[in-house]
Amino acid sequence: MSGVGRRLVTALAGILLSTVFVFAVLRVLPGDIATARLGIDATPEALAQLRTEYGLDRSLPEQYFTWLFDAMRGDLGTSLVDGRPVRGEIVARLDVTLPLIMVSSLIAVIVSTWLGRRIALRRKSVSGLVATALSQLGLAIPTFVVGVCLIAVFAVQWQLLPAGGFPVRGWREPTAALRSLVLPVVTLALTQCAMLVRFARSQSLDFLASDAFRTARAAGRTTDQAIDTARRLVLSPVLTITALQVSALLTTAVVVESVFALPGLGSMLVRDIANRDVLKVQSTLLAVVFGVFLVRLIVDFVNDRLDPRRLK
Amino acid sequence: MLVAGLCAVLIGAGCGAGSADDAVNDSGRDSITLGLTLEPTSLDISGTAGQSIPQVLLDNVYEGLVRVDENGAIVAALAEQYSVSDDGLSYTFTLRDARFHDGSVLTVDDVVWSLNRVLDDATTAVLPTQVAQFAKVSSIAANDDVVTLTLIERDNDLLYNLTQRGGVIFKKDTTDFASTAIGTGPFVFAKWDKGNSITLERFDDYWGRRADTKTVIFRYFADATALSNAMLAGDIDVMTTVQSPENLEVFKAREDLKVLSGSTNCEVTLGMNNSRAPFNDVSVRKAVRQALDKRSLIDAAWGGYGTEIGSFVPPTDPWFEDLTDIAPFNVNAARDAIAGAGLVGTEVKLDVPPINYATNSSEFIAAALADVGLQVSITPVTWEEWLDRVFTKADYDLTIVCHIERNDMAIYANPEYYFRFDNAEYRDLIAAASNAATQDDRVSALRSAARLLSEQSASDWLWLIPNLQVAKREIAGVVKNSVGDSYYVARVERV
Repeated sequence: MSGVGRRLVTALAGILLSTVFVFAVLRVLPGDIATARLGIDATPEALAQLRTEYGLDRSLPEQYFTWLFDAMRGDLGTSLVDGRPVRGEIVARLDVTLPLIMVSSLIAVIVSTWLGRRIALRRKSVSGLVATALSQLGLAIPTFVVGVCLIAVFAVQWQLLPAGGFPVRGWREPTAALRSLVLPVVTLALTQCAMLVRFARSQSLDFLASDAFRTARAAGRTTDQAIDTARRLVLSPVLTITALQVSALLTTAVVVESVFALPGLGSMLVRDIANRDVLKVQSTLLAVVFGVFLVRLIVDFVNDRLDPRRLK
Repeated sequence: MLVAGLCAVLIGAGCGAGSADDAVNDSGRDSITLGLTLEPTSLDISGTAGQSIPQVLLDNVYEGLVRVDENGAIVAALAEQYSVSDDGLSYTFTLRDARFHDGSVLTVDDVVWSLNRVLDDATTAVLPTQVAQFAKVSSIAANDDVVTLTLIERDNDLLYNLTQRGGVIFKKDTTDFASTAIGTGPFVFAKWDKGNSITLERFDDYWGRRADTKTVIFRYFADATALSNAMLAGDIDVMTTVQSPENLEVFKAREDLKVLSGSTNCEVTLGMNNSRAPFNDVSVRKAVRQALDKRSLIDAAWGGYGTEIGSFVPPTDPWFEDLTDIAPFNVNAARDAIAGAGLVGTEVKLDVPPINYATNSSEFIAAALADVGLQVSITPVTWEEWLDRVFTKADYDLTIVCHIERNDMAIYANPEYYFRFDNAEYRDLIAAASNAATQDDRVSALRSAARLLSEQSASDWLWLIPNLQVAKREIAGVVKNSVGDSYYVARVERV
């Protein structure tokens, strides 16, 4: 229990620290919501008046703590730009971003553990070398290039799938929604795969060189059977890396959402930052940070089950 | 291997489950999807800056008393008829029978309430630029179905301003402008899926000719490449803007698509700082203009699409005159002028904001000016820096930006504007145009002003950006010219 407690405290401290950081960074950015709304011809008086209306003339600690206490009570506030409740906006965007990140991560984890093991086993054969080279290539190619290539082939050339966008009625048009997520998911999965394969491969190689493997072989198991016993050992670091990558994944998701014109969380954040909708950005980032820590807690928990040695 | 297999399975599943053009099919044939680049940040048409809000709402959802049509002519809208008194101090509008989208009847009270909003100097609910446009209106009176605006002095821009966002008629006592829009226009605002699209539905109780298409979807693409791809893939019916004309060949090659070219008010302007050496000397400014071969520049920077303009007037304005021969392309003349002013080898800075018409032309300009003796150092700047240093503080030598506002010749009459063009004669002409008793007087004053501007080489005007769009062949009724802030879609249809 003490282990779980310690993790929770660290997570909370991390979240608190990140709110301070986000708040500070947003206040340092040049320009504010008043200039974003009134445009370049606004008079200083009009700007000042608008800032008062938005409460941006209050002291920074006052602004920060008001927002933080509201957020702690579950009130993420309303957008300064369009007056919509932030929580509803986040939930609506998760319709796109959550399936995008989860499905692509799932595919990436499954494919990379399987592929990593194959490569490790056939590291000296041509197919193993080709697979290693491909994963190198995958790491080297930027995400948006992958996305644009997929669009060029599957959407523009063959017209099999939409080039981007999300149906107007969202998941109430399930087929259209699914189809519009295929290429983005593949793009994001490919980028993650390229990296995870390398971890799975080195993990498998470690196992192939271990005493456990030799013992299993000596006991009469085939290479495949022997390496099967280490499935959990390969999966565990891959999961850890995936969890560590969740926030980086969101950054990649911004690119993917932009290339595929998807109304996701990432594209919303970018737009809100451009509009200097500080309150909404703070609340959204808080939700994201919270999600990231939650994923890490879950992965820690799963890893403890996968590798009982960790508990000791 | 497996990755490829998975892709195939996913795509197979997608294809088996739905047809290739389900985005359209789902809402039926009576639906048209437009692709745009800039999404509104709010629906508040009077309180939030930026062109993207009136683009979708003005004339489609909201209407004013008058409207500007595709050719720039002002026509009646919510006013059945209107008249202007001889002294120009009184405008009367007779309202027609119209309904708001919530079913209520339009009354003079709505008109008076809406226009009084933009007359309130102390308001923050309305953009200061809108309030300024109506500064000469002293009062609004109404009886029966006639509304009368009384002016302090003549204002020849008032009718046009009434066609734009400041003249929109809201329902009296509306409080929520940001998240919904209830107007009188041919379309009802139906849904805003933020980050994705805005859906408009035909208003069946419209006072005039009903919209030709039932559902019009404005779909937003933050990335111009994504927009192009959506057009090529057939996901959208109209691509309302082509941001990189050098890529037009791809669309032209397609049998099922057509390229539409219309006019805009967007003059790509090479700004020269008139208050700072060496550009405080008219002969140097003229030399810069003569050094640039505009036709080659348009070919190099804008795929050959674009109109040469010799001053700050688009050809759709009544006071347009071809003034390109005031400072025609002439390298020798330019070289002599620079040498004559003893400036050979002088270094000047060109601040280039991050937008393609500017970045595409900066190298050409630098090379052409080097050819006549001026050393240009190109400085890429962000929009924030451009607004702060160049636009607000006028701390620059040369810069490139497109001025998109209509009837915007008055910006040169403000010596504090970033051109720092300080010319009393020009100011008098602009004032005369604003106070002109007849349209002829106004046109002649503005024509003289445009000529003076060119003779003084206050800036160089590189080209007029064309309004380029791509549409599927079967789409008709797309408005080609961009003359106001709205993108009118009531006549768009699939034929």
